[in-house]
Amino acid sequence: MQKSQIRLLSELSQNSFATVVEIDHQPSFTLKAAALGLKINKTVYVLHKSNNGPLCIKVNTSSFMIRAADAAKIKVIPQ
Amino acid sequence: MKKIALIGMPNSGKSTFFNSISGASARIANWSGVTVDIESVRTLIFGEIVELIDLPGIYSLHSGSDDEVVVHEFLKNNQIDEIFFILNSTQIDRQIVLATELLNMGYNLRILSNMHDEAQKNGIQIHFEKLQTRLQVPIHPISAKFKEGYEFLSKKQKLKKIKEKPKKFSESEIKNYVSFPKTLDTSTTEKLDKFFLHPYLGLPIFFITLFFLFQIIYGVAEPIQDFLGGVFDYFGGLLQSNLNPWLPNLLSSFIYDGIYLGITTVLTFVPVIVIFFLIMSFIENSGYLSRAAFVMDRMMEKMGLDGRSFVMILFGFGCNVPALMGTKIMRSKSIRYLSMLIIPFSLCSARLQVFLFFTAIFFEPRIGGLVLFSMYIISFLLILFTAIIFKKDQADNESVLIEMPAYQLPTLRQNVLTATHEVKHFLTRASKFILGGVIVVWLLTNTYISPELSVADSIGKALNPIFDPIGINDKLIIALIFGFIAKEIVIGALAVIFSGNDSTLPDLLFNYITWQQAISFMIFTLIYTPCLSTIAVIKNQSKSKKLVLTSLIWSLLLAWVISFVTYQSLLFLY
Repeated sequence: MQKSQIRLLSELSQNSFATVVEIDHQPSFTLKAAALGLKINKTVYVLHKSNNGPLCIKVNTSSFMIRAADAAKIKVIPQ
Repeated sequence: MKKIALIGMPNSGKSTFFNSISGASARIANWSGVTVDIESVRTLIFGEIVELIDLPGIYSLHSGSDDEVVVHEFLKNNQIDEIFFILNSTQIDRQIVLATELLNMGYNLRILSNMHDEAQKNGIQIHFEKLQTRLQVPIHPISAKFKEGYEFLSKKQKLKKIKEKPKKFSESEIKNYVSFPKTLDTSTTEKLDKFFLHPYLGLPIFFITLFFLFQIIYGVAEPIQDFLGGVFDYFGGLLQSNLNPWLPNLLSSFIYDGIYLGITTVLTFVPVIVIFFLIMSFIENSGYLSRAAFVMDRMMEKMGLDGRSFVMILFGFGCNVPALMGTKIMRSKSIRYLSMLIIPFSLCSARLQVFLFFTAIFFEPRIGGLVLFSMYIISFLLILFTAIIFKKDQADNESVLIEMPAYQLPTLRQNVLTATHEVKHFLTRASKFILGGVIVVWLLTNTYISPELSVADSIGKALNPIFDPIGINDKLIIALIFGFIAKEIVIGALAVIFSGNDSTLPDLLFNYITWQQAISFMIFTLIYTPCLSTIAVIKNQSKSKKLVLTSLIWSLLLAWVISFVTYQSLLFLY
C-alpha cells in the first residue's frame, strides 16, 4: 500500500469506489460503523454527495448517510 | 407469566412485528433498571399468555449509545425467558452478528428472519436449516409487513438449551449460509434517490414534498377539528342548560368549564394526530425520512440537530403536539431533547387564530399580511436562536450515521396501526395532565379572595408590574393564563373577560388597547409557555423535569424580553 494513494472518504467524489484502510474515530462510532458493515478492508461506494454536506455511501447491501466530518476520519484507497 | 423480549437492529421491522402482534393494545409498563417508556403487550404465543416486550433497536451491545444502555439495563435487571431476535433478511450477513453476541451472553434466542419476501424478491438465498444447525437456535422466515410466516407462534414451542456457545461469524463463513446475487436489484431506490438526494434539486423537492404533506395534514384535519369543535360546543350548550337548573353555579361551572372543556380540548387534537401519524408512519416506513435528514443535514448540523428535526419543526407549524410526539424517531437523546426545546416556538395553528383575530382588528388588510408574516419570521428566528443557545447544553455534536433503507410502499394496515397506537398514547397520557391543568386554572378563576376579586384576578394584579412594561394589562394577563391550557382558548377567554357589554369583542378590544399593545400581546402569545398538551408531551417523551422547566422558563423569559423591546421601540418610534 502506497501512502500517496491514501485519501479521506470525505474527499471521494460521487460514484467512486474505495477500500477502507483506517478508521480513526471514537470507539462508539467505529462499533456502530462496523455494525453497519463499514470496516477495514471493506469496499465503499459513494452513492451521493451533497454540497459540503453529508455523503451517502453503500457498503455490501447497506446504504447510509455519514457526515463529512466523520468521513474525514476514514482513510481509503480509491479503486 | 413468560416474558419474551423483542430485540433487533433499527430498520429490521421490529416495531412492525410488535404492532402486528399487539394491534393498538400495547401498554407502557414500569421495568426495573430503565426509566424510558418500554411498551409491552400480553398476548397468546405458543399456546399461552406471554408478555411481549418491545425494546429499542440497537446496532451492537458495546457502543454505549442511549438505546443500547436501555437494552443492557433492561436485560440485566429483568428476568427474560426468551428473546425474539428480529433481523432484516436482506441484511442478514451483518445483522446475524448481533444474534451471536446475544447467544454468547447466554440468552435463549429465537431468530425471526423478517422481510423474507423482500430477500426472495432480491434473489438472496438463506440456507435456514444449515444456519439453524450452526447457531443451534430456531430461525423463522417471516414478513411482518404482510403478517406472513406467523404460524409458529400458534404452536407449542420450547427452546432447546444450546450445547455450546456459537463462534463468531467470519466474513467468509457467512457465505456458506447466505448467497447474495452479484448485483442487488436496487434500481427503484437508486432511481428515486437520484431525484431526492440530488445536490441541487434535493432541497426544493424536499420542501415541495413537505408543503404537500403539510397541506394534506392540516387541510384534512382542520375541517374535522372545526366540526368536532362545533359538536362539542353544541353538547356543551346542552350540558350547561341542563346543569344550571339543578346544580349550584359553582358546581355547574366546575363540570362545564373545568372538566367538559378540558376533555373536549384534548379530543379536538385527535383528528390532527390521527392524520399526522398516518402520514408520518407512511414517510417513516417508506424510507423517505432518512433522505430528508440527508438533504437538510448540513444546515441542521450547525444547530446541533439533524435533518429529521427540521421535518418535525415544520410539522410543528401545524400543531406542536404531534411534532413533539414525532421526535421519538430520533435515536440520539441530545438531538431529541434539543428538538423538543425548539418545536414549541413553531407558530402553530392555534396561535395563528389569535393573530388572525388581532390583525383583523388593529391593522388594515395590506399591513395585516405583513404583521402575520413577521410572526412567522419571529417564530423561525426564535427556533434558530434557541437551538444555538442550547446546542452546547443539549447536543453533544455526536457522529451521525443514519441508515438509508430501500424505499418501500407501506401497507395501509401498518399505517393505521401506528396512528391508532399514537392516538391511544396521547389520550391516555395527555388527558390526565390537561384535565389537572384545567381544574387548576378553573380553581384560580373561581376561587374568590373578596367578592370582586378571584385568585386569577389577584394574580393578574400581582403580575401587573411585570406585564405593564410590555403593555399587557390585567384583562389580557388573565387571557394569557387561560392560554396556558390551550392557545385556542385565548380568544374565548377574552370573550368571557369582556362579556357583559353591548359592543362586540373586536370593538371592545380596539378601544381597550393600542395597536402597539396588540403587537406586544401577539408576540408574547407566540413565545410564552407552550400549551398544556405540549408540556404534557414534552414531559412524557423526555421523562425530564429539567427539560420541561427549561422549556417553560426559557419561553417565558424570551417572551417578556422580546415583547418589551418591541413594545418600547414601537412607543418610541410612533
